[in-house]
Amino acid sequence: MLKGKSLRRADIVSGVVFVLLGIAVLIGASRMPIGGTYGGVDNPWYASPAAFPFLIGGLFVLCGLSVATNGIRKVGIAGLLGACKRAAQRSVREPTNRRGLSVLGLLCGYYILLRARWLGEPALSYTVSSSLFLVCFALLFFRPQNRFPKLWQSGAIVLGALAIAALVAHIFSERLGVPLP
Amino acid sequence: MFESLSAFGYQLGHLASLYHFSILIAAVMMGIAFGALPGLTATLGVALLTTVTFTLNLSVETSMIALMGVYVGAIYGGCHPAVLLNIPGTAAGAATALEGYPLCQQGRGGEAIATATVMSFAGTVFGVLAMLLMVPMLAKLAVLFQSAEYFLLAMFGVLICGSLTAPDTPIKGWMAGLIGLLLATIGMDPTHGYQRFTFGNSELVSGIKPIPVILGAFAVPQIMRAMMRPTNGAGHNAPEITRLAPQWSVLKRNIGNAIRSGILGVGVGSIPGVGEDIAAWLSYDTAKKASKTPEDFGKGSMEGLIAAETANNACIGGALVPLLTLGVPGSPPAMMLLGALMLNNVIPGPRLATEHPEFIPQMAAILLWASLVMLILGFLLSRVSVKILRIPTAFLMPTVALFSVIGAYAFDNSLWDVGFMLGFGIVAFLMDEQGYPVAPLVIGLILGPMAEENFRRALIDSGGSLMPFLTRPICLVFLALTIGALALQWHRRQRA
Repeated sequence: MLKGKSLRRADIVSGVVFVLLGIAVLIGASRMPIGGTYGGVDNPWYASPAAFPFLIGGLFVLCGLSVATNGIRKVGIAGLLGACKRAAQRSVREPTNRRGLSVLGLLCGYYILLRARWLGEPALSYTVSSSLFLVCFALLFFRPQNRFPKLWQSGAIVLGALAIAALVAHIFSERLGVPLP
Repeated sequence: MFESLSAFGYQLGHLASLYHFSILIAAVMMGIAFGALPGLTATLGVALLTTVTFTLNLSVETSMIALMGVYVGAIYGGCHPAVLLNIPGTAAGAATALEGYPLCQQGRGGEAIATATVMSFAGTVFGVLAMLLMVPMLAKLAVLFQSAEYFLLAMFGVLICGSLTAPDTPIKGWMAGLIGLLLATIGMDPTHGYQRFTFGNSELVSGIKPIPVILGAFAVPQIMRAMMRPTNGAGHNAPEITRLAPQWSVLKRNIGNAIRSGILGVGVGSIPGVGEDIAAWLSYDTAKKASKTPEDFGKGSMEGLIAAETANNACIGGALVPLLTLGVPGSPPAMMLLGALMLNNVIPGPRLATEHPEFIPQMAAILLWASLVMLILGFLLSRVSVKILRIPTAFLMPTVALFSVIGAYAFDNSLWDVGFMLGFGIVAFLMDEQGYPVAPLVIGLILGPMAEENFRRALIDSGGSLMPFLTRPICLVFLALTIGALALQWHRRQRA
């Protein structure tokens, strides 16, 4: 979790996002059927599908305003944009965030591999996609004695990944009857 | 009371079969491994196993044996890395680490783990007893509930959970709960059949499924956090355990401490959505205040360790009380249990005792057997857990991701669910970074339909008047509890 002033600056952004989300919910709710009849049934405001979204949207706006104003009170609006820009530049350079982004990239890549189609058929089988994901993940993060893994270790990672992926595929498709993606 | 005890006794005998025990042993082992491995949680374990039980089309009874086994095992398993490495395997084990690790450094690691094992068993048994005592009473009260009460109960659950789990200001916890309630409105409106917030996407018409949300909320941020730490991706080298036995004189001295911690654990467990971690911390803090030697806390105090371990396991029984009687889960893993029950067409709530009279004593019996299996396996597997901790995180975390992906997919054979799980996981991570807790969001999603349906029904019954929410006696109690608890929490945070 962010700390101190960084958290309060982030509060301004998240507060505004929630206010906007609340307004969007209120607009969406106002387009739902309210009053008169719907499907031949009386539809007063309190029975309409919009009643609950109105309540939530209103609460979103109130809470979002509270979080944003708390942030503004603590750090002020001035310098927020500059601070955001600096934070964005710094955050990509920080090793911790780079590692986080790598994990995100790997997860998204895995999903894309599973979804990829070639002539209406899966481009890669589940086992191959999963093995690739496991191998890339392990090779990217496994640093024994803070060095790249040796050739035999890399070989073991590839074999291990293939074995795990094949085992999961076997359990889910053969034993549990799940048609794999 | 006598009836429920005799039904409980019958269920204990009924469940004592080789088939049930083999499932229970496997599930508790899996739970201990999940609890012991830093980064994996009880909720994630229950969520992943729910996929397997659902896909295997197991009966409700067998599914519950498996899920309760994982739940009990995982809450206990967190004490192993907490004592040996000063890294709590689960949030519930964080208070244990404060006392367990100094004990381990003093060469008393085996004694600390043995004490934690015995007290976790005692805590779970305390939870079973509380469950047997409280469920019939609350079930009688629940019959008096009408729509207005159910709406306020759901809102009470979301707000209190938000308030107690928010690491920053309570309002952020409430907002997380509101997101959950908003997600619950997506899809076909239950009364009019009107499609809300679907944006023409056919996948959204049936609503947001809780399983991908729970997997996303509890797996993706954990994987990211585990890999973001500066590490070489290798496992942890834990010290070997010597003399795995508790000191009975210490246990005897702490009977009062254990009873108080059990009561606190059950009490916290019965608050909707508030889990074992808060029970452990509250109990630890209370034990420190009540101790004759508070200066020993933080330096290896058995009193603190006993308080934390008793409370976090007693919380399991407490969490089942509102789940079974009101349909409101008491902790994050209990949310997953609720999902699993609904998948099996068992709807917890006031009618459960009449529709499935055997179910509540059966759950108590499963919990008792699971605690016994946990006690035995806890001693047998303590030395093995040292080896489990050596699994490199660079291998463990992608394997967890692999299981989460296939788990989200297997419910509906839909890649949309996988995409939703990943997308939601990223949102959950960002929320967590900014101090918005994820547990209220999940409880909001689960309680959302109950809140909305009863809100509208109460208004229809009263012709649009809000008076039933403000005049019915149980409603007034809920309102007073909600306002009182929120005001107290707010005051404490402001003072801090």
